[in-house]
Amino acid sequence: MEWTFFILNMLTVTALSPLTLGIIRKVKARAQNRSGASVLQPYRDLIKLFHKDEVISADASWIFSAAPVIVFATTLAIASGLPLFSPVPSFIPTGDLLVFVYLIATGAFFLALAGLDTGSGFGGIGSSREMTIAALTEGGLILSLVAVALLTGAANLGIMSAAVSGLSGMALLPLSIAAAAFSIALLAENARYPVDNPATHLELTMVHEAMILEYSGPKLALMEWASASKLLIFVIILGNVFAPWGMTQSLTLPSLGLAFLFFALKALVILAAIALIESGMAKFRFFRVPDLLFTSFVLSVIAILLIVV
Amino acid sequence: MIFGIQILALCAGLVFLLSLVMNLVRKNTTLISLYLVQSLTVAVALVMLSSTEQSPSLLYAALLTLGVKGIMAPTFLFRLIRKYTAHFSAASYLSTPLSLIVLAAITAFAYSVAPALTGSGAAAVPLLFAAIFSASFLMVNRRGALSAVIGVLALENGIVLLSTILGAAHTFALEFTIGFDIAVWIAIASAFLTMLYREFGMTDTDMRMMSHLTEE
Amino acid sequence: MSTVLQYGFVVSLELYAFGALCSLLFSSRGREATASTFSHFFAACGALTGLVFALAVIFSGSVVDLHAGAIGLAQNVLTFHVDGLAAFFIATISTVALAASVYGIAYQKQFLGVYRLGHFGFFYNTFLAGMLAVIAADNGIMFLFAWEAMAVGSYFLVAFERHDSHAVSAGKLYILISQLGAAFLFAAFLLLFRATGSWDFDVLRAHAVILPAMLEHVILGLALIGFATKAGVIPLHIWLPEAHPAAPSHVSALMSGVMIKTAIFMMVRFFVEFFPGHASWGLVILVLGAVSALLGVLYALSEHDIKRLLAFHSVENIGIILLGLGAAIAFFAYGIPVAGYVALIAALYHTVNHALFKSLLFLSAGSVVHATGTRNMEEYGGLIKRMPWTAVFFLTGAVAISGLPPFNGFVSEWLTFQSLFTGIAALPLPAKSIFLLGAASLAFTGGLAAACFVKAFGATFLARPRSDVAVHAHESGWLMKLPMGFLAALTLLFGVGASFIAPAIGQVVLSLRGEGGAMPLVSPFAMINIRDFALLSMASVALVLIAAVLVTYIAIRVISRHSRTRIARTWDCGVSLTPRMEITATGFSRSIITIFRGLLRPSIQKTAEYHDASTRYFAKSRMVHLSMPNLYRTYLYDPAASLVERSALKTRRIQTGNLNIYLLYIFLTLAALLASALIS
Repeated sequence: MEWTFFILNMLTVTALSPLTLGIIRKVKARAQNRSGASVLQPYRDLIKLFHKDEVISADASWIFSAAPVIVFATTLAIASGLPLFSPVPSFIPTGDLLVFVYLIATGAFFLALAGLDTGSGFGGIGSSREMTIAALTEGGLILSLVAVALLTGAANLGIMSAAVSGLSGMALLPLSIAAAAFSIALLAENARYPVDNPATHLELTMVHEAMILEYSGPKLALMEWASASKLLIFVIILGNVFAPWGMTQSLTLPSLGLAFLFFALKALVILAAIALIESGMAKFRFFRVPDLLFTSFVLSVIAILLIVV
Repeated sequence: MIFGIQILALCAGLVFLLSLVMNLVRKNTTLISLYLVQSLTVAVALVMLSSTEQSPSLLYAALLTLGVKGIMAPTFLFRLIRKYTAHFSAASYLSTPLSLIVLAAITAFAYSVAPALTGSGAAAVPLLFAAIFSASFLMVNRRGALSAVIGVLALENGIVLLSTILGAAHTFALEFTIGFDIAVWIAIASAFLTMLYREFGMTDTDMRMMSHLTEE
Repeated sequence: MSTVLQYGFVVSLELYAFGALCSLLFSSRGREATASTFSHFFAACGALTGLVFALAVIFSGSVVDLHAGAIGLAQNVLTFHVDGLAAFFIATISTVALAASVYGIAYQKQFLGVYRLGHFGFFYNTFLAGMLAVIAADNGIMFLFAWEAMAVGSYFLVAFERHDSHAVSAGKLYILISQLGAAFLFAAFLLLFRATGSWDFDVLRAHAVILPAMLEHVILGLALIGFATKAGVIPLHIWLPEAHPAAPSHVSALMSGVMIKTAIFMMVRFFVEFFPGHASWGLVILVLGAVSALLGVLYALSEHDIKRLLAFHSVENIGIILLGLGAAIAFFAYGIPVAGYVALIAALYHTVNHALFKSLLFLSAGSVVHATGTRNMEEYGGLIKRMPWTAVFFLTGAVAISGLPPFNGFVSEWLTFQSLFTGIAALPLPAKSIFLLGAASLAFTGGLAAACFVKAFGATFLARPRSDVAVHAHESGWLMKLPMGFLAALTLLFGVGASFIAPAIGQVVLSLRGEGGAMPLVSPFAMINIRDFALLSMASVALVLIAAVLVTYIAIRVISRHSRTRIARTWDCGVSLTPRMEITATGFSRSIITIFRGLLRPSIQKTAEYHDASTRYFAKSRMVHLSMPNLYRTYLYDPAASLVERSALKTRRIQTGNLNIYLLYIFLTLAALLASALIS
């Protein structure tokens, strides 16, 4: 039973993640009064990249080749434990909240190493900034999820989402504060505004893009796909753990279809919000970002204090 | 018996008196002569004790005392004085009247301390305590190094007699050790004095000379 | 089994003694290579024996008490007591000592003819034997003796490269602060002796004597300061970043990996076994741990000397261990023993994990230093192509210390987090907030540690070589690769096999609190269950991760089987790339240091030399000096030292040089003593 959930989760997340990028770009284009590319364009980009040849730097080592595989594998591993359509009936080992956070950290670790591997200055700066942001985001990320865990009495994502759907009244206040903190962590970890600009062409403004600057062909496809999957994973958690209404307990096909519709709705709202933030504000100067991340941390602490005191 | 104790008390008193007078004399030779007399007194006391307690070891002890403290030590010291013509050791920190007052205070202190410590009412014990303290005062008050040497020797005399009267077991080994200790001490002291003479040209352990040796 | 239990410990000590002796016998200048090989070989044998003995004790659940016969004055002093906790630490020490000794056989060859290897071997074996004796000592005198032997032995090892003035001054600082800590320990043990009337630990273990509360707090405070000095807790840590880099690399591995853990062992003994029930001390230890963890990793980020970086990470990890230990003490005092067991398991698990990955990191750093001749990371670069195996081992250590699954660092950090979360949920308010502080500190520490090791691994091994020494580096021999591989395998094993190791440590913890028993055997796929709040199955996580990697790899190979790969230059915008265009280690962490500048107070000094001094327009050369002051030296140690010096100078006035005054002092003291006898 659990193996089907594993495989289903992994396949769904991987298959749907380029769509999230497409939706964000479409909403941004609309906000800028353009028609924009089709929402399926990222799929075409990936297919194109998979068929291309690649160029590898002479200075790179096996880390350069291994990093895309590892980063993509971490997203697969995380995806296997997520509550996608319904809270999982039993415990899935990769659904533990600390396992989730540290698998994300593993991906960031190897991505940063890949940025350093080719010896280009851009990759080095990108790795430095990425590790700084990742280090400061972890506080808010872990503590916001801990707030929900303390509220529900379980530290597993699936069990948390099942329990949150039963909450009401005063318990919703710390939940929303924790959700706000988690949203800030979502923006930071996925290289979105105001922390990073995913569409920039200026290397000095890049964080995530700088680290994958040297990649081409299939490896670049894996990296892009992995970052899209990471975004979808965070959206799933924000939607299904912090606001799990609409998820179903029964596993019949119609109810699963309905749950998928609810989830699609939540995801659309979140993605549109991200796109509108990107259209409405400028990216922060790098040394203003820590203030934002400490805000996320403080919000999580407030949420925890509201719950336990 | 009673005769023996009286003699002991007399010896004790004599030792005390001699210690007092040592604080007041001016010439070095007188100092050494006084020490000679003090050692003789101690020897006599030991002989007396050996006859009352019928122990021959004490007799040997008395003879040893005579030999080392009565003959050897004074000879060494006289020779030393003649060699370096240091006849006078007049310099002292406190003037004579003040010294006398301090000595009186010391004697009073000794009399107050002694009964509480020993519990015995014998007249000799406080006298000997006073003798010991006077000898210490001699060391502190006089500037000359030779006075310090004589002070230690007088101190040792007082301690020997005190321990004898308090009933410490006087084995021959003890006396032999004391004698050996005195002999070695004399040798070291004379070497020390020789070095002092050679280095500073005088025997004063005065601030002006020795304080130059402190690290600054 | 019973022969191992009975004789294993003594045989181990004897092998160390034999190694020391052999080393001295062959210490003449012609035979030093033999001395070095023999001493390290016998040390390795002693370590192996110790390891077998310790594992036997743990798995049989028994307690070994050894009494040497009366040897003159040392009647009741030579007693040893090895229970589960001591066996656990002996196993840790022996594992690291085994790896370090095998490594040292080849590593020490670089000092042949330069320094005296025979004497090194003697002190090395003394150091190892001292550590074993510290763990197993059963009375105060034996403990203090072994503690001093450990400190003195390691001093000679730290100051081994005596022609290097930095090593000598590092050794001086180390022994000074070590003695300062030992003074506090002496005071604590003397007070204990006065209160209980005996030096034996059995008296304390049986809680036979009830001490007055004030005295108990004073003793615990003194003991905490003494042990914290040895463990390297902030602010008593200033010797650690000086001494650990100065020693030869396998000695650094031992000092950083196991010597500072002996202090943790004694803290567990004191606060959990001998004097339990003090929640306030538990919270103090927790705060110390939180501060050390965060500040340790921040100082590590500012370093570009690879061994100093690793030394500061030891401070950080000791902080993490103290988080778990403080939480355990608090839980036991508040009457939630189940949570206390989990916290103590977390602390002990992190102890062994840190020993493994820190010694792995030090050994691989030692290989790099051995190959290049410098400790400065700014001169490394591109070493992954020249030292591929060392790079893999260093990467394993880096991944483990950053707490990334499926390696062992993740498991112990997970357990520590869970105990802190339990505290936030279950304890009363003041303790709750301190636990929250601890959790926040741990969260940030994990991320910062990962950043630091990306920097360390990247600057050392990746990109292009930055200097000639990096170009000409060569891989280490198999004698140096073998222990590194052994430790790397153990880090993976302790991570994936967490479901098996955690109950074993749990058994040790239970026997410490009096509920003994033999080891239960648990399947590796079982889950670690924290009161149904959180469940972890490391083997499953590892399996999923490996399966995902395999699937991705195979898919990529299949999809891109027709693509070609071309090797070209890194994109250089048209200019040729020089090593100076890569990011430096200092530059990598500059952002974080700027963000935390309130805590770290970095300073920048810029000087420039101009072609024309009057116009000062065209600069001939510019120099930028980045530094971070040692705040503890400025605000704590230097004022204390100058206070001591000033009072000493004032007291010196009684030394006038005048003999008569000295005699007067004697006379007055005598009179005063007599008078006091009179009064009493």
